[in-house]
Amino acid sequence: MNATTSYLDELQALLLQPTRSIIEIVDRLLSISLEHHLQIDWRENTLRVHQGDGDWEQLKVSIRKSIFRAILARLATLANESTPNSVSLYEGRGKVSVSDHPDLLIHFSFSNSLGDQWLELAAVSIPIDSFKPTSKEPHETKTDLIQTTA
Amino acid sequence: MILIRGPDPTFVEPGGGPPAENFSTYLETGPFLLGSPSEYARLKALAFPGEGGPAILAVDAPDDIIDLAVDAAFPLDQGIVQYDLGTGLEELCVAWPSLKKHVLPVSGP
Repeated sequence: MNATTSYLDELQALLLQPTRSIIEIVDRLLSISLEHHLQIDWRENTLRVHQGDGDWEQLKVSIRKSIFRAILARLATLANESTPNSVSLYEGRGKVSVSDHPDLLIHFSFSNSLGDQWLELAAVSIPIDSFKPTSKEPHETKTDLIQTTA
Repeated sequence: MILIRGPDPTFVEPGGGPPAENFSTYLETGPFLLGSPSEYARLKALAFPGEGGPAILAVDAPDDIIDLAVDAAFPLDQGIVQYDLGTGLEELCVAWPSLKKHVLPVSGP
């Protein structure tokens, strides 16, 4: 299996028939991108991916709109945890880091409005002394009462 | 609007665009992995300044309806209860008039 096949297979396994939670999908998407130094352009049902000087590869990703929007919202939350108020709910340009890859950073831009959802991201090298890990929030348990914003 | 009429998959945000299609909530206890409800409400109010300011709507939803919204992408231990058509939204709309609800104020934005 060559490198191209490897990251495409990993992305396909992650996104074509998602069996993971939103949080796990985002964590894995970031890890795959960092491990393979990928550039990703994902809009509607098409994910294009690019590595180094290679050609852009394309995957058809038919997931529920609510899943894609939650993935974008999670990335925005991670960016705001790292740099407060760096992106809005609906659009922005941010960066996130992953503790397993202290020498790399994900730069991304996105739109997450009702009518327009897309994500562009790229793994880039950073100086080691500027690394700031992304904090992980604890997972808690179920209750009956739910709430939402109005 | 949501308090009185309930979730509306045909709702269009001020300024136009496609319908909402779904309805997103958190468990009251969290975790709030997409940002806290109060912070989300403030950001939403900033995006729509003509909508009366930020607020949180708390709803006591029955377990059997919540269970319809649970799947691999949205397990309950991650705090998000995502109602889509076919995963609990229709049932939530039907039950809405009888559910206990109250509005929590949010300071700001």
